[in-house]
Amino acid sequence: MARLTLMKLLQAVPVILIVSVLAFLLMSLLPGDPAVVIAGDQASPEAIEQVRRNLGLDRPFLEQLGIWFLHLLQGQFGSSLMLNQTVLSAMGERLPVTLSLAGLSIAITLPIGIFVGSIAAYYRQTWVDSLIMGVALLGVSIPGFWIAILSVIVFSVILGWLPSSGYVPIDQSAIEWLRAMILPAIMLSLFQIGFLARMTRSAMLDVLSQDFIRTARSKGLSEWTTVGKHAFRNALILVITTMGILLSTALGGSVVIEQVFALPGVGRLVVQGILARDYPLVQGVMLIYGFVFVAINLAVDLLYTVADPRVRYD
Amino acid sequence: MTASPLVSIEDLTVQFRTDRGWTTAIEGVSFDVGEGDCVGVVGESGSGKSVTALSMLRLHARGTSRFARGAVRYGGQDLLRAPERNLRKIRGRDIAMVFQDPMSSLNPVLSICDQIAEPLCLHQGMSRTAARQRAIELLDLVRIPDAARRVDEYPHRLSGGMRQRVMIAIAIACRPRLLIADEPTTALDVTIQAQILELLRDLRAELGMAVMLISHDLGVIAEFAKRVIVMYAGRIVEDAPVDVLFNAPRHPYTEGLMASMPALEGGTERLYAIPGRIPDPDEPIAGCRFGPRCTHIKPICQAAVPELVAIDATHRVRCTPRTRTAGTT
Amino acid sequence: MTELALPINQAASSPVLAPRRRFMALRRLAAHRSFQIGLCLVVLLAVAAIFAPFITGIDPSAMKVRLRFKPPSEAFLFGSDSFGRDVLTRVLYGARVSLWIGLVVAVLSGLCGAIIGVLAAQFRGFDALLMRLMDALMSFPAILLALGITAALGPRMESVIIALTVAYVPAGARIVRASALVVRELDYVQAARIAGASDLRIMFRHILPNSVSPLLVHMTFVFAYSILAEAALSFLGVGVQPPTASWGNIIAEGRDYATEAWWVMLFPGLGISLAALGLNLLGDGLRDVLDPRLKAG
Repeated sequence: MARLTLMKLLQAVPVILIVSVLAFLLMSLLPGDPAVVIAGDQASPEAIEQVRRNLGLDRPFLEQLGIWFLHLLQGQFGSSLMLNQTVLSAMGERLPVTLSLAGLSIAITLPIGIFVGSIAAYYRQTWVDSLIMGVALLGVSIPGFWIAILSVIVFSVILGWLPSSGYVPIDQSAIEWLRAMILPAIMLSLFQIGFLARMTRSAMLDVLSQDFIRTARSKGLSEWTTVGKHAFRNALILVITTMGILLSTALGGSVVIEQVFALPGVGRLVVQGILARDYPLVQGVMLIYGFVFVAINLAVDLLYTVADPRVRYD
Repeated sequence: MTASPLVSIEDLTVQFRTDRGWTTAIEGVSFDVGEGDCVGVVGESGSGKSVTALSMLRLHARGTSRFARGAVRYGGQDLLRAPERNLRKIRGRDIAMVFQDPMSSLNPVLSICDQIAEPLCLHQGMSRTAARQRAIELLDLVRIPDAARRVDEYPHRLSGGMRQRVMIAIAIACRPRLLIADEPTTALDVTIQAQILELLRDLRAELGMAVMLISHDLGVIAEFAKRVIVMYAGRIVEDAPVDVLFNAPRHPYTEGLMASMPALEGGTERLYAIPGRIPDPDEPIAGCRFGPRCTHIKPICQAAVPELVAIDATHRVRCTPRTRTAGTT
Repeated sequence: MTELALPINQAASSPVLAPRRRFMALRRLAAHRSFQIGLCLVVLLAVAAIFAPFITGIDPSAMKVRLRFKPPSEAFLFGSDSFGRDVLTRVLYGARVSLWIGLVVAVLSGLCGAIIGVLAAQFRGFDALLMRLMDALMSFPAILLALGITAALGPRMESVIIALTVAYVPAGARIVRASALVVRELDYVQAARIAGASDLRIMFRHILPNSVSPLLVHMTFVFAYSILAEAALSFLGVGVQPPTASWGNIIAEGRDYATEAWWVMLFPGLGISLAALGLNLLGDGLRDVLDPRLKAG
């Protein structure tokens, strides 16, 4: 297993390199002269020149790439143009919001998605299965931001139960934090629950049709032990592999949900950055998210290895 | 046959759900297994022998099969209709099963110890530590070397033969009165096959349990069983003590099976093969379902489905011409 | 020990049976309930999109300031928006844009995925490099990657298509690679190799056709995801720009007065939901029929 871990770690190195290069290349996608695009159409030639020099765009391409890597090695992820702040500190301020949102959403998603998916598999081709899978299908089909806007209208505007926007830090008031986050988190979870329930069901169906389930029944084990212990542990291994996708869609979806609920998170920062043509900011955030997900995928891989004895010992 | 058999199967008829409605997989299967008996069930794939075995413990996948008729009587209960709760007390304790594919029949994410201990904790109320100790003894009993160390391993670390031994250890853990072994050697190498059969034979003698061995391999059955049931297309076609069956088979299908076995004393001639193939369960065939492949077919065979007729106390045959008294054909 | 020397029923893997199997698959598809519903939904929406000009006869950008914010009525089935434009007309024209983007992204990302996947499986030297590249692309949340690319390329329909294609290629490539790796080891492909078939011939004649089923299923789901993602991008203001109507930007426009004129954002959202629902149902049906491993579902 140590060898496997080492191998996975080694595999992550080129991925990190490629992620860095991809983020770097983002700027070169800009049509025409990036300095002009960033400075804006009405900018004076001096202002454009200023941008060009500040961002090092006057240097040869490979030198730019070299500097990019050098900065990364020093932990510099660039600076925002509109905020007069480094990308790291800008992100740091907004990360609690995004993590609250994504974390709460995952906390809602995991138990519900796995439970209803397992129930649907166990009662396959009955009305229970049809009902659960029908709802799950709606979850992965309805656009999250649209249902989120509708939910604001219903719960905030019409019923007045919850605030329609804004964020309260958890250390200020846990209750207000929850009131502010619960609706966005649920809206973010709808797709995820649907997705996870569908994955869990198909993993469970796969496992329930295996011979060792029949063996478990032939021992006289109850349905609860057969399904809850023998089947579930195997299905869980398959579900673990979807954790990366789940976290990825949670953070991706938070970009849109933060916009709907006016939550000052990283997603909203990116959108503001894009609209203000603050490309170094966008680049920096993407790079950091890229790194985070290389790490998350690595962790999921390793978790998978721990969970599956077939891999653990080989 | 003793007065009161251990398990008595009466007119067992099982149907499966298909796209076109219910299909009959086995029909009118009746036989008894006595205490300490050693019964072999033989037939091609699709003959219904596994369905019969699974029906005895009601282990078919849920919702896809039904018992149209019949009963499986054990200890005063009909296992086909007993509540699930009662059945769970019989499974693994009184009647245990070993399956064909040892690669997929063990749970890959639970240790050997867990899997052997389960029936012990469940049926005998053993503690985890006692069950672990017993698991090691059982591994010893099924001749797995270095049992104390192997007990904590996971199935994928064991060879196919070793896994089948573990399956047997699980099955005999609670000293069942009947062990059903469904093609236990089919997935294994020939040399391992012999070892597993020998193990089963020894365990049967040692534990005094009845064994019902299912195989498509007449050689395995000949070596192991005392009584043989031949199945074809979902029905019993012949049922006789092993020596009677091999020396004087009465059903043309059994004869065909015998003829297709390679002789021990070096024959170099081509093996005989029964022409045709086993019919699909839905295939409409008038009268005897072996008719289309039978070399002795007579008009009377197509007139009605032949009955399984007892020609003496221990021998039953399902063949109209052969069971009629001489002269009427 | 002896085997019964009886002829065994030929397994269905023989290539001779392939056309029959394909026919069977079609028949099972036709009988599949979610496939039927999905197909109906998708065809219905596609027809509505294609024949939009004949259905409404109104110019989607025709503004009638006098007729602002009219609730749904006989004259305006879906009501009118802040410029007095007919929402039904805009939703129909928006369907053209949204469905077109989804279709193009599904096809393009499927094609690119197929090429990359087969290359990786066939030329093992490329494999590590290509797959690490795919891993890297997959490290960015899809919507964020698309957001970055559209931001750089400028908010246009083509940018959205390129961005979403890039975001969805890696998953397709992985699927094709995985099934290609299985197929290339099959006996008949090995036989073709031994018989001297060229790499290209093996790739296009043997491996690709056999990897098509999982890819097709995947493409159907990508179609659905792309419609959702396009809507999200346009909603965020980096996708299709007004006055061109897309389902996403109609919702974005309607959002500001969602409380007073709920109909403006309600109907395009229903459009997205129905389209994604139809495609997901279609994908479920295809998967059940084409992927025998999961047929129990």
